[in-house]
Amino acid sequence: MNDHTSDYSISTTSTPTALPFQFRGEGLEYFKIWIVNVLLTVLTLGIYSAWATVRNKRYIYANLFLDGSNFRYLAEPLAILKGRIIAVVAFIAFALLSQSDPIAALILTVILLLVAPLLINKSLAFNRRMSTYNNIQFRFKGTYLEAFMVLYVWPLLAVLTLGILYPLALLKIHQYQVKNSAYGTSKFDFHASYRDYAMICLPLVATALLLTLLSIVMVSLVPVMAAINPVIMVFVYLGLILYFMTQTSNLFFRSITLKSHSFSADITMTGLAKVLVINTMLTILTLGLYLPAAKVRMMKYVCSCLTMHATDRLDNFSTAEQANISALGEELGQIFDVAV
Amino acid sequence: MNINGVYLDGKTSKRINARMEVSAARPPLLCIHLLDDSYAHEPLNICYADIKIESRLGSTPRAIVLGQKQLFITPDHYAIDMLASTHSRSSWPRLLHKLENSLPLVLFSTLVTLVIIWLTLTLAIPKAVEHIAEQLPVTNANQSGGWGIDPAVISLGILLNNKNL
Repeated sequence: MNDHTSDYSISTTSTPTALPFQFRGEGLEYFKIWIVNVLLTVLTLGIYSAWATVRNKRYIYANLFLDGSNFRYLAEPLAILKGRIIAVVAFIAFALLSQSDPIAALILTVILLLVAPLLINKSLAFNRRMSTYNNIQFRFKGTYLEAFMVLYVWPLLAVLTLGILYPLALLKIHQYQVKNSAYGTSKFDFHASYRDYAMICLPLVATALLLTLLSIVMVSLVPVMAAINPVIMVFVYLGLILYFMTQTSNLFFRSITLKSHSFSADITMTGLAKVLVINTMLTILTLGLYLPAAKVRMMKYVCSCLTMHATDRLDNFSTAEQANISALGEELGQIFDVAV
Repeated sequence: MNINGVYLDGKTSKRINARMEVSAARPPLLCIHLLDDSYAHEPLNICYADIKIESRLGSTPRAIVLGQKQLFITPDHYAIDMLASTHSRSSWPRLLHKLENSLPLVLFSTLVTLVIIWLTLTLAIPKAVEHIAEQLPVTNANQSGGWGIDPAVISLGILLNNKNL
């Protein structure tokens, strides 16, 4: 029986209150599910992987709690299997075509690049629709143009401007993910600005440049440093990557609102580094067998840093009414339900 | 049999404390009593054929889908397993749970998986590479200049490799 059985009760939140996210999964319990999934996937030459994915995701979602209630993952393995078969067939066709007819392969590449934004929209919509909390499904409705801009135009502009527009590209990507999402009939909103992202990227770039220059000067002054300099720089860059990950994640969560409810995140560099180092070491030492426990450890840490600030009880959300959804779109979604 | 849990109507996110009453008849009759005062109306009778019981997965709360959208969630796995045993035609979910919950079977699964991965890495992949290499036309070696590699470099590489052998 679950240790948290007694926790599975209804809270009486009615005033503004902080609701922490909780991950109640256990490493050993998830390992048992994961290893059986791996074995069955290997024995069925990969076919079982769709069922394995659903089972793994179901475990992760079902152990994610907010306000005493857990999330649920609803996808049917066959929908995922269909998506994978399409992807494998397309890949084989592409590989064969690129050997026999390079021009046809080039045309196919262009078509794939043009279709990619549509696939991303469909995939996000599928994943959102398969996620529920309190029996209300999440939704995603992004346009082709938005997906195209996020996938190609903004990253390209970031490169062409030598990174000056990179914070803007990141902002647009996060806006696309959040503003097109909804919980039932309630849409999520995103409040970050270009300045917020620039304030993360600017110190990062300045520190990276300064430390690189410093290392060059050190090596030229003390030649012995040349031997250990690369090692020092690896740690410096890892630290900077960690800084970027924590700051952007915190900003992402803090900028989301749902109705009048908001979120806060306090992921720290030391906290995340500790989890990453332990996970990496144990995964290497156990030849990968620690992977599920590593995932649980990471989920526990991230969830312990996330809080929802509810201004009201979370029981007044409504499921999307049939009138609010394009009937044709929804039916087509059911027919072509694929996870890409 | 009575099962305590939470009822969700599928229209709103409102959770209502509820008790599911399962009769001893075959098929059993299901009756959901809403326990919150504001919902003290007639019990909900659910047709047994219209329910879908979620398979067991570790100790995660168990959901029963009632009809199209309604949901009954409970952490009482024992009671749900009793109900599922009369409901489920397939024994696969129970077998899967048994496999995941038995330590000897999990250890056996780990061992078998490691052996399969080891055999794949040490035998299957080298054999496959050998087979592919045998299928390649010999002329490919002469075409290597087209990939920007000087054939002399390849010859030297082969020579050095043979010396090591």
